[in-house]
Amino acid sequence: MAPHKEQIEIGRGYKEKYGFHVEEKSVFKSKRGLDHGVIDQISDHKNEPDWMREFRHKALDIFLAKPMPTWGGDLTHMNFDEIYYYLKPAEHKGDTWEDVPEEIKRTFDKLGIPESEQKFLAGSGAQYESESVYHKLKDEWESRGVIFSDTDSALREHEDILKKYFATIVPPNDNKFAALNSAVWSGGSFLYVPPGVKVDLPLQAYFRINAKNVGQFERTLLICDEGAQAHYVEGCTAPSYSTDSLHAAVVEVVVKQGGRFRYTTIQNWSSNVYNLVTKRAQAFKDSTMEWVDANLGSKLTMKYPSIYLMEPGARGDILSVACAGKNQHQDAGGKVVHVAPHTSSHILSKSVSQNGGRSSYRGLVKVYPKCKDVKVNVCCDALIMDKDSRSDTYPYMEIDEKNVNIGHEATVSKIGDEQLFYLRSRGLSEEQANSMIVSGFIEPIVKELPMEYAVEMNRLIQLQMEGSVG
Amino acid sequence: MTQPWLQERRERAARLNTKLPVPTGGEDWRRTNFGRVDLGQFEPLPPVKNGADQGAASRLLPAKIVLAGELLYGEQASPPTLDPALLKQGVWLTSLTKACEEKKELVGKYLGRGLHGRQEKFLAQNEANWQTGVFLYIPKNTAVELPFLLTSALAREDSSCFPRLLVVLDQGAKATLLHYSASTNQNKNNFVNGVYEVYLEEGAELTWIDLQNWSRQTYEVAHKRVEVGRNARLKWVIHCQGGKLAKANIETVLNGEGAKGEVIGLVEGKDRQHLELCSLTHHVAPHTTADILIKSTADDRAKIIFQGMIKIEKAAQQTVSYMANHNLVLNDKAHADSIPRLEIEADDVKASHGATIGQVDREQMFYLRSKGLDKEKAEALLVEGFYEDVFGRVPLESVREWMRTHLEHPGG
Amino acid sequence: MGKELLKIENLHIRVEENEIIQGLDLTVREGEVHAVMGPNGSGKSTLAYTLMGRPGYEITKGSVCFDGQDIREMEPEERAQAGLFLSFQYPIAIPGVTVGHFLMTALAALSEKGNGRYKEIRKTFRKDIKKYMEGLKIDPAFAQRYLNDGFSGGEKKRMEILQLLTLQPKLAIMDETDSGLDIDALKVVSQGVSEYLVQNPKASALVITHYQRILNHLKPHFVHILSKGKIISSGGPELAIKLENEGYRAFGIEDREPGPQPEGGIHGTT
Repeated sequence: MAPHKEQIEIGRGYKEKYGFHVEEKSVFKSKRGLDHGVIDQISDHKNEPDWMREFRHKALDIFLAKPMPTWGGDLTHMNFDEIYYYLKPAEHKGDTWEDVPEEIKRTFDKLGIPESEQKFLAGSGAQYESESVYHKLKDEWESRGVIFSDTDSALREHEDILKKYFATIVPPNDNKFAALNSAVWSGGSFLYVPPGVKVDLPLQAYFRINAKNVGQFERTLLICDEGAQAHYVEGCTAPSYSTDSLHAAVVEVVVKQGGRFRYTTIQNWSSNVYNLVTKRAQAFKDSTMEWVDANLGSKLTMKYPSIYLMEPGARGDILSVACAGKNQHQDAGGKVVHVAPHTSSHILSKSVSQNGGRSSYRGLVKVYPKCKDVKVNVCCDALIMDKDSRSDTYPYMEIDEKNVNIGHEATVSKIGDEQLFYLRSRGLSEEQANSMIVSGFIEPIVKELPMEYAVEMNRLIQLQMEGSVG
Repeated sequence: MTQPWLQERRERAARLNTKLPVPTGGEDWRRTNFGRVDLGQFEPLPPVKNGADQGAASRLLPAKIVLAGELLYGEQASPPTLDPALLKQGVWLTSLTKACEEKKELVGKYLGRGLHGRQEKFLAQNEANWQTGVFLYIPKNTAVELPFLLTSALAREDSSCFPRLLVVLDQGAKATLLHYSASTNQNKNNFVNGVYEVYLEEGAELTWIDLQNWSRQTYEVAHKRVEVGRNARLKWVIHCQGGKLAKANIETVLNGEGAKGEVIGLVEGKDRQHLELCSLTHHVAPHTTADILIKSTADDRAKIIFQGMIKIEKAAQQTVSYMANHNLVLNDKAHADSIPRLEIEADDVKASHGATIGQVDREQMFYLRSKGLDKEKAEALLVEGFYEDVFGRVPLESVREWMRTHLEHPGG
Repeated sequence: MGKELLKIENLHIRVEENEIIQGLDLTVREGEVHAVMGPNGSGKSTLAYTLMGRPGYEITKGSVCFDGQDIREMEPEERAQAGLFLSFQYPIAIPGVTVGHFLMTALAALSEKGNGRYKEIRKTFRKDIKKYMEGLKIDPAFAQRYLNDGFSGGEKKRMEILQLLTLQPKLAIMDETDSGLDIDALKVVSQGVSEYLVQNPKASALVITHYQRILNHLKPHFVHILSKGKIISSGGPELAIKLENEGYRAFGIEDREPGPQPEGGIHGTT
């Protein structure tokens, strides 16, 4: 057989669809690099309470003191002095899309955000550079006590509830990038779903970086109160530049007794973005927390959504799909930490490496002493599409209890010659066959997405694969 | 009288040993910390006494086996017993010191070959200090049916011991090696740092039964490395049950096209033992195959750690590699870590691993108890069943029996 | 007499180091059903895979013409587009891809290549597929299941026939379609193949089998006995009857009884 001449190119078509940029306009931009002066500028602009200013300064000290991680991806080219840490794109946030500055609105129009809001969302937010430019929750939900806003507004309008949870799940000293985010955070989503309220349509936030060398550090805090239900979806894209940008978010989620929360990410940064994100949830009695984490873009992603199962009956699910193409390293996975007995978790990871891309699964299963009757199931499958690509699996299992049932399985392989031949014998080209097998491979995760996103996801994969003959 | 080349090597290693701190961090060492062990408390073993009788090695092995040759090394050394027919065919079985003098070229070619350039404290320490060791060489196309027995035994206390093993199977050679490390008294406090190197040239076949039964007071670091050449075959059975704090690094390097490696291991942690088995399966050449199965139990307050890595280099296309690690936690206070990793740089491969951590099956337990077995017996039976697929793959019936017996009468 | 559809002359096939087919001649005309019978290891499946262009099956000598085209250098999908179809002995699972999606994609791929017939087929595709599934006693829910994933042996075989009926090729190569089927399933599957032949009077079938029993249903016009990579005897249906009654020994062939049929995966080179 002729060697696979068709390569599937991740990122093909990205430039036209997402990689565009508009002229940079800002009402304020901090200098390159980071020091305590920049922190004060951010705090001044936000006019925030002193405790937050204090928090930021302390976090900066932690950030400066902590060494760069030496595991995971290659961070040796990450230059913190090149980055603009705060860029305020507009004076005010819009309450309607009409209020959003024209160029910014055009960008989101092009990305189809207002349209989806009309069609199938309970609420929608949009962040441009460092600040949220739009946030809207449908009246129906607002009247039932749901709060969905950007995090800066929440600090002004719901300080008591925000303060109660803020940085309690991901403290600044958790890791270097959590410290960085804590120091310079801006924007992000705040969600509070009152007890028993079930928000049946997704709430979406879209994050866009437009300017060069800019850092985006949104801070998201989501609280799902007792018996409540919600689904939060985030998407993100950026223009393709030759210089690097940095995205270092912190996401904290609390799911209280009997609550059910799902957090879906479709990460599609351009391939000059370092994506170093800390996401963690605490799941309390009989609650369910689910991370659906799709990583398609970025230069380097290091992200391991985690779930701390705090009380009996809690359940955690992590579904992770990663596609690494040329010059990309997806170091993704998940962590489940069982702090209470009678808890269960499940991790399913699927990765595709091609065109010299590298995808790594990195995961942790930890069971503390006396956490009886814990069930964990981890399954990682990886596809390598060509000889230049690489796949790694680094699962860690640390078990301090006898009465547990922990299973882990992983496979790495290429597309089977038999599968390829079978599909081709039915008239599909090699490229179509490859694409179909890859779609099938990630289907168990894609089918968990709401229909609109599943369609989008499949379209993204198709886009990456089509027309790449020769 | 030490050879100058060897002396130079030892000195270089000694300098490196002084320079390097005891490793305590990084993924490789952070789970088994020798930084807290006062290594100064152990006196180096005095020069080896040739005090033991011929045949002393097999007297220490608690099983009767007909052998092709045997040698006791460690605290005392015995003259080798070797079938004269094999001697005539060019088989070598001697102390490593003697081999360094009489088989200088051969030993020089292989000793440390796969370990050069590594900045590892314990490797350097062994290289600088090994005083007792064995050299086994099987010449080209020589098939030795009966096993060789090499026993490394320690009777003293508060001693540090640096065993060194070099085994070379030349092209097309075949052999079975029984290696037994044991303390002759269960309560001795010792530090053992051993380096064990095996080279299988093209088409060679080795079965290595590797049994470790140090006292529960022994601190051990072991580096064991097998290089499997073109179309060569390795079957490696490992049984770890001794040691207080022990870390064994085992490496299966599939170096030549068509090389095959099978590693079957059993780790039994009891009392307050801390046992780590760190396995690397390194596919360097194409068309190589590896199958690793490690089963462990953690009882009492034991801590068992398995770190496994399948590494497939870019050139190692058409590789099939599998690694399984199954752990039974038998006590609430016991602890098990399992870290099976994959690093794959070739695309036309099949690599997979599976790992489980759990307790004995409750339904099975109930079933057995309903038939009149008490809890302990039922558990012992289930643990035996858990180990059976390891035992089943041990090629020597007598060793198989010994391993079974050991399970039933631990520490006996 | 119909037009020559498949013409094989002096075919030699090598798989890995072994020459499996050693000088085979066979002509199939439009509307004909041919049976190729032979014991295990005679080269039956090798012939089927080679006709479909399976990588690794090398034609070292001879020619293969299909519908007037030399197909030796054609990719598998080009052969499918030309009207060849292989019903696999061990159909392959494609997890995550539903039967419905797969069939639509295959039809779209075939019609894209300019064969106007497929535009027609696509128009009534949904209705037809329902009918076919009913005929093959396939639960309609299977349209949403992943292709061959977790299917039983019989379900996989029926899925092959569903594809045959949907894709309507010119020549259907049935590779051991009868293996692993019980009597009832065999009947259903055979009826499916017959339906395809009735619907397409010009279509032909090459039925590759070890046993005669499927031929009771499919009624071949010609029977060929394959041994050690060569056709050693050709004739009418009576040849199959003789084989059934007297066994391969009557043709001077040592037949090792086949062991249990493995499921899933393509095995060996037979």
